[in-house]
Amino acid sequence: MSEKVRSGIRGSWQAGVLIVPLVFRSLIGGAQVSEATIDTLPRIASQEEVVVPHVYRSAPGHAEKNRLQVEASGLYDSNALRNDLVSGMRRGDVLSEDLRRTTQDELKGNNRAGYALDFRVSYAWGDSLFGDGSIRPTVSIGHHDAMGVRFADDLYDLTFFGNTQFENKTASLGGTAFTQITYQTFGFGFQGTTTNSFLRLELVNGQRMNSATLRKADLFTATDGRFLQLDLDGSYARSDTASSSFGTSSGLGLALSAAVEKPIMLFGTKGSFRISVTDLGFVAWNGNAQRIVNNSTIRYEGIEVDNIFDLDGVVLNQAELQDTIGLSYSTGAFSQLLPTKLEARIRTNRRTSGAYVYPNTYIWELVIDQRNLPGYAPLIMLTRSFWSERQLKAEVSLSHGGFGGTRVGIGAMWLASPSFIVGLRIPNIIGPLSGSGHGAAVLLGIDVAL
Amino acid sequence: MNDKRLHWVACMFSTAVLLIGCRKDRPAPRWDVEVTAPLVTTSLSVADALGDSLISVGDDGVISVLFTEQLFALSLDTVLDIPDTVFSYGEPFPFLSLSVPPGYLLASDNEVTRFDLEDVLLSRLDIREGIAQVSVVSSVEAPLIMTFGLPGATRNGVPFEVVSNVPAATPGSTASVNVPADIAGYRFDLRGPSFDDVNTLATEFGGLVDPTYPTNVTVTNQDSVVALVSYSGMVPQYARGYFGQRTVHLGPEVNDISSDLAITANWLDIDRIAVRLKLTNGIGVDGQVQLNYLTSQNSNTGQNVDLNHAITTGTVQLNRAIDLGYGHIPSISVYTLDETNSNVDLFVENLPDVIGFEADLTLNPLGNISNGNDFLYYDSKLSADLEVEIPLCLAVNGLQLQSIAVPDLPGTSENHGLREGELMLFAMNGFPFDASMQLEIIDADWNVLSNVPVAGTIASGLLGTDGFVETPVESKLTAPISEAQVDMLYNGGRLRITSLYNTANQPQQVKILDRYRLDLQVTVRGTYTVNGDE
Repeated sequence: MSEKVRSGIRGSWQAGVLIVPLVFRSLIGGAQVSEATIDTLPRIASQEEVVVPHVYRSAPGHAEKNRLQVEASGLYDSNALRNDLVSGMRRGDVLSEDLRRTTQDELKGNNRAGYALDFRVSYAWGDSLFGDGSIRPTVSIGHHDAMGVRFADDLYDLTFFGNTQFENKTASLGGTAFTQITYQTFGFGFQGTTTNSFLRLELVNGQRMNSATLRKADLFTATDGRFLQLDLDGSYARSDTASSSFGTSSGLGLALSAAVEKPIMLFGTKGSFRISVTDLGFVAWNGNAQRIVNNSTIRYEGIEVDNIFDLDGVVLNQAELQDTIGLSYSTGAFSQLLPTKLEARIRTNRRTSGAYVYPNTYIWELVIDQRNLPGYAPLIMLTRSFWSERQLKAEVSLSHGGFGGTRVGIGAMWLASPSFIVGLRIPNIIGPLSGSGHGAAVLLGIDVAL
Repeated sequence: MNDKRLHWVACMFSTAVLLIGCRKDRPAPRWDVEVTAPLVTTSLSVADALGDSLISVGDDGVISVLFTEQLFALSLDTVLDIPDTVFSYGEPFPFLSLSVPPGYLLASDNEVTRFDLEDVLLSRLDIREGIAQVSVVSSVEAPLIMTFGLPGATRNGVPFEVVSNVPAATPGSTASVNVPADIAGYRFDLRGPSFDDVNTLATEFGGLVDPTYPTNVTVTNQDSVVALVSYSGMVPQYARGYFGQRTVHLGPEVNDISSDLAITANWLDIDRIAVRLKLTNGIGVDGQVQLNYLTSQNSNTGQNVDLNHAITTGTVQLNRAIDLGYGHIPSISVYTLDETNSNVDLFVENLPDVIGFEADLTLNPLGNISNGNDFLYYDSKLSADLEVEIPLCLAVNGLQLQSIAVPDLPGTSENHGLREGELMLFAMNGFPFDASMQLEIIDADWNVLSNVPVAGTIASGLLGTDGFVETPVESKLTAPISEAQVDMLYNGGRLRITSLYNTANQPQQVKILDRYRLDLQVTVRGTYTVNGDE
């Protein structure tokens, strides 16, 4: 039985595998966050985050005839926002002052949060391209939703407690940045027939986007609110607000995704090195996109009215307020870089009886990645796997970076049959257990070979 | 479980997870924040309060309030009214029977038309609006070409003419045609063909058998070609001549002035009031006005005061306007009324809310002394205005101004971001009087729902030795608004703002200068619920 399973699994690698890493998105609030706009930027900054460090991925397989690959992944974390606060926001609770104070007490100045949700279906066929047997064609479609934010302590205080505490003081909001983008990709290219290397050109459909950068934003609140003065150097942009639902287009773009994987020897052990880039490209938002670019000092002393005894016509809405303080939108097309992901990975393969039976069933794995999102720091994750004779794997991981801090994770994998693998990973074992934790994630991976 | 089944389980599971993750019907979280911010700013001057057209500034900078009330104004049709008129041209043919060829001039009638304008004798009339309707009735059994012309009516040098085809009549019936013509812009020379008449216009009417008609046509003394020309809706742009001697009776009439003079006079220094009667004659006729009475009526007290002045005991002569050819210069006569020549002080101190009058206006009281050169333009007007000028010298105690605001608050009555707070009013007062404020929340029937206590008063500006404000003074007023009061405003409540002014601390009446200003700013320190429906 054991031998049969082993040979079957080896065959599955050679024939290619279907990888379906699944994320328990019901445990995270990503979808709600993705609807946010700059108007609710402070709310975004407080969303609960869950860490999903990386997806389960098959090793290079032998050139199979056709290969369908489904990938779903999520990354959701924060180094600043407690889970009880984020959970309350996700549920739409009334957030008590105590709840908001507990997160406030833990802010360290370098506050980050964000998520990245990706779903992609790829299909490769044939055994050669243009007579070259080392590559074959591939197409893919994908849906992507990502948000990242970094924010100052004062921004949190201002958002959750108001500006009264800053009377006769300055709230320093500079260094804050926020990007939320939802887009779809339609790609075509080629991939290796015997490796996981590939090159794909993607047509990008921009669905919606909000982005803000506050290089400097010092808000002074005068005593009794006599005036507000904002020393601002920043910008804000958003895509066409008339079309932001799924299936609509607010812009088009191009992107490149590629990966190169090579076998290496590491400390006398066989392994592999892989470097990849995902969605390296841009979206050109259409002419209805809106932007505000401002580098000035804004002093606001209230709406100016002609007659204090006739306030009937005075409407304090957002548009009039923006116009009053000189922050009106300008409309026009512009381009924006995608939240590109760069990843480098080194693995040492599992050794059984002197032979590498499972090329993708590694013992040690070190992953470093970085995303083009505000608040995302380089993520480093080291994973150690432990295998049993029944093809069960347990793993322990230690990670640091991304949208969160240092995380300890655990995981398990079961090789049920030659063509079916299921894995469970909890990259952050503290977050799901405690409201005082930061971030929470559960990752489920299922590999099914066609 | 075989591989195939596992595959479908995996796919279904992934789809379910994604759908759950995409659920978007969660409510938005809410929390309270404490906000301190400016709301509105304004700057109030006397011109803002009364309107630029109401004030005048003297050499010393002291502001006077100027009220103008028009007693009467004669419109154009009072002096010159041109009635709708119809003229007939043509008659039955004088011969028993005659066969005429195509192109034969069958009817021709050149004569003069005289407009009946009663005692008005016009030599020239420029038409601003009007229609001439030419109707032709023919019993001739052949098509005709009809022409109707007014050689004395020209527009840009081209005489007025109407040409129209009249169809052939059938035996025993007639054929007709109606041609309306716009005569706006035409100048009528009403001196007639020999240029020595009045109200007279030469006319030319002709009927020609259509030259293209193939055969001769027989006409008898039973046939006729008749034209009816009607002039309607004629409005003069300019008229010249003699407008006659007549008397127009004006009134009795009352003018309601309760909205301005009565209120203002209640707190102004009416001892220094100046009243002027201004008569403006924009018509080229002499006039004579007999003002039978001019009465100050106070409806509250029932007290009436008749003005006693030379203009109410005798007649007032009005000189004619001057004709420039392209316009006119009106003749203006101003009669100043003061305590030395009238009882105008009593007239004003009666605090009238109504001015009543009755008068007779005689045009050309001396007859045709202009030798037919009376004139008028479309915008000529003969009017009488009563002007009242009151210096702004205040001595008020408890003067009350009130306004009602219906706040346009964001959000709904069920959910709104604004919860409670404290309104703060900062005033930089450059006026020489104190002011306090009252805020009340009232319903649509003006019933008071709640009082918003206001702490503090707006202090008067500091006066120098010359009695004028030297230094504006800043004051702060606060008004806490509870959550219940905010809810009242969201549920249809209105904010009644009452301001009370007081110069009691000043030793005497204080003059108001045009440079005085009151700068106001309202700020708020309150609780705001984020996502509370804004």
